[in-house]
Amino acid sequence: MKIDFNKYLDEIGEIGFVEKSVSSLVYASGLPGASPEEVVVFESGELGQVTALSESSVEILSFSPNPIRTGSRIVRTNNCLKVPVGEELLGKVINPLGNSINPQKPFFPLAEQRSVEVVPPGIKFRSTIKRQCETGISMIDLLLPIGMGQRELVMGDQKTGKSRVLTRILLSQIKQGSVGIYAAVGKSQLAIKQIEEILAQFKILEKTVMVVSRADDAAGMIFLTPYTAMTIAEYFRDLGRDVLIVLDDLTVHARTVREIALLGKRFPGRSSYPGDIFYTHARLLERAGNFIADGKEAAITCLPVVETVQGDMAGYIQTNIMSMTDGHLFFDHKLFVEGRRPAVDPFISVTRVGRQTQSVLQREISREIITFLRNADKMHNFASFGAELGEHIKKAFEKEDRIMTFFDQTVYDRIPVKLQVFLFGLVWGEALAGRTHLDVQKEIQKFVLLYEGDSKTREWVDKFVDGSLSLETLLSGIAETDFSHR
Amino acid sequence: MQEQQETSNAVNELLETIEKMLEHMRTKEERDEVSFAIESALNGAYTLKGVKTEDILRMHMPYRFFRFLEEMTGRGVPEKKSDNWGQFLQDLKKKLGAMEVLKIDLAVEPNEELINQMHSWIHRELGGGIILDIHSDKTILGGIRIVYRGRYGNLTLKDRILKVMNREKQKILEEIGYK
Repeated sequence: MKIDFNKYLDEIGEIGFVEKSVSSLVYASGLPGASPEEVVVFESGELGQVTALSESSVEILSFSPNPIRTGSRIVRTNNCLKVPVGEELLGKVINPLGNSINPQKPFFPLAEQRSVEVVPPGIKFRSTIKRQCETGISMIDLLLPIGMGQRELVMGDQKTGKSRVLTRILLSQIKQGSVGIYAAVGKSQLAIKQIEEILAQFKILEKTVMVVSRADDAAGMIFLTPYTAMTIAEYFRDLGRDVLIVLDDLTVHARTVREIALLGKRFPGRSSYPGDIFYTHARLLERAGNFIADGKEAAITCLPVVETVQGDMAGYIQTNIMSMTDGHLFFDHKLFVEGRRPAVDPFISVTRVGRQTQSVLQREISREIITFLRNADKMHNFASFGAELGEHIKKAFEKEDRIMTFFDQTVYDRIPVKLQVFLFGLVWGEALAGRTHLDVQKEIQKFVLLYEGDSKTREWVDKFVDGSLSLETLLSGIAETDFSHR
Repeated sequence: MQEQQETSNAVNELLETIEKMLEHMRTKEERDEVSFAIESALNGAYTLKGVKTEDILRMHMPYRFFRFLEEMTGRGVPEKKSDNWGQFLQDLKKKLGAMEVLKIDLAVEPNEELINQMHSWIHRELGGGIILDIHSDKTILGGIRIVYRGRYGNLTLKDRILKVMNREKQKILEEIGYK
């Protein structure tokens, strides 16, 4: 959309001239009425945002990929930065200013515009997190449950399967009626295309909004990406719809904030990040949550992603974001290399508000599994001595193998929660005891296909799980049922 | 004591000379010419042996400004001050840099009389220390476009015509028989 420079010039009656241009930051003279966060327009039609005011100049963060020529004219708009929002954005891949990145798929200007910088709603607009955010991934839903409106950090080294898990969570939530928003912050064009193709392959692209900034975009655009994504999430929340937003990833965002701050000669703090880096991310993540609007609940569930280096969770940005989220899923490189999918370490990962959304049965299952896995882990340390293993240890290892086979989700994109509970009952009890790894896999596969394909099986499993109020009831029910005819 | 008094008087005379020069400065071009002359004089002090500073200034500075320096040199003012030309030129350079610029776009190429009139008007209405940056732009047809201290004013004939045409669009279309 072309912006009319002369219209603003005549309307506002103020003008500025570019004196100096340093990468994304532009210093201009004039514009006596400029205010912080105000949008300005350059003569070329590009946009910028006022970041600082001094006695003799105005500091502007440019959103243009091209350098701004010295002497160019600048005009104020008297507005803060707004992005277009609307249902028409679903299925689109847009840049942080709300324009389609694909020139072959433009869309008409949208009627409603919302400000990108918003004060997060206060406590009276929020509600306790009560509903579970089903991810369709057994390990997460049973051991590390996420609630609707929770902010759960996804953390791990490169190439540990984070994006795969995120797309599957999106798939699961969209199938349940939520809106998906994927913010790709400073990613390569290839990575953006791959994400788009995966969403299209899952047939959920039409229910997702992708807000993307490329690695070679202006620093201002990369900085803006997660804020634009959150603004669009708030729009759908206000329509009464649940939203799942993925911010991939905030380490690139933090590096961009650092770059802008250092160019602007801000005093560097720890690791050269600016002193307000915590605030930069906190004011973004606080906009997610479980909200009440017109008596109805609508949640923005946020999954910020942070990359670690060699599993170091103690980095500055990592610890910052861990402290402002409601838990974290840690993807361990060692587990990934061992073939675990997802490579989530259940002992290091945390969920602070997810357990309150689980049923009594699910909580009991979760406690049992965690206790069992911790004990099995200790037994592995003991077994490494090479001594003869007792019968109970061998049984424990065999059970652990069944549990891990159950948690392995290489093949399945999504397993509904009730089916997860049922399958857990199968692998935990004696039904599959003594069977090989391949047999267990085949049994699980059989039930997953039956559940997806046969509505009677689905109804039966759901009823069975709903009727089991404790683990003991579940296991005894499974033991008494004959599955040979299914 | 007498020496101190003489130096103080010399400093006052230097400052007065600067003020007189700046009062007569009308346009940005004149300022740039004087600035260039000052730079040449300051650089020449180190590179040109046996050449006097006032000779370099005489070569590069327009006479209407140099005459003030000539008067000053004729009275021996720079010699009374211990730093001679160096400090004076630095002060003059600073004052020139501090002058505010009022940018004007006109439809015609202004002559000396017009420039004098505009400068007098500005000096009278807005005060001293302001110079004009005049550009000629025939597309505005008439009137002026003015920029001062970041404020922008479009008082051009072209803008007025466009506004009238927009306002009276219906009437104009009726007049020319377009239905």
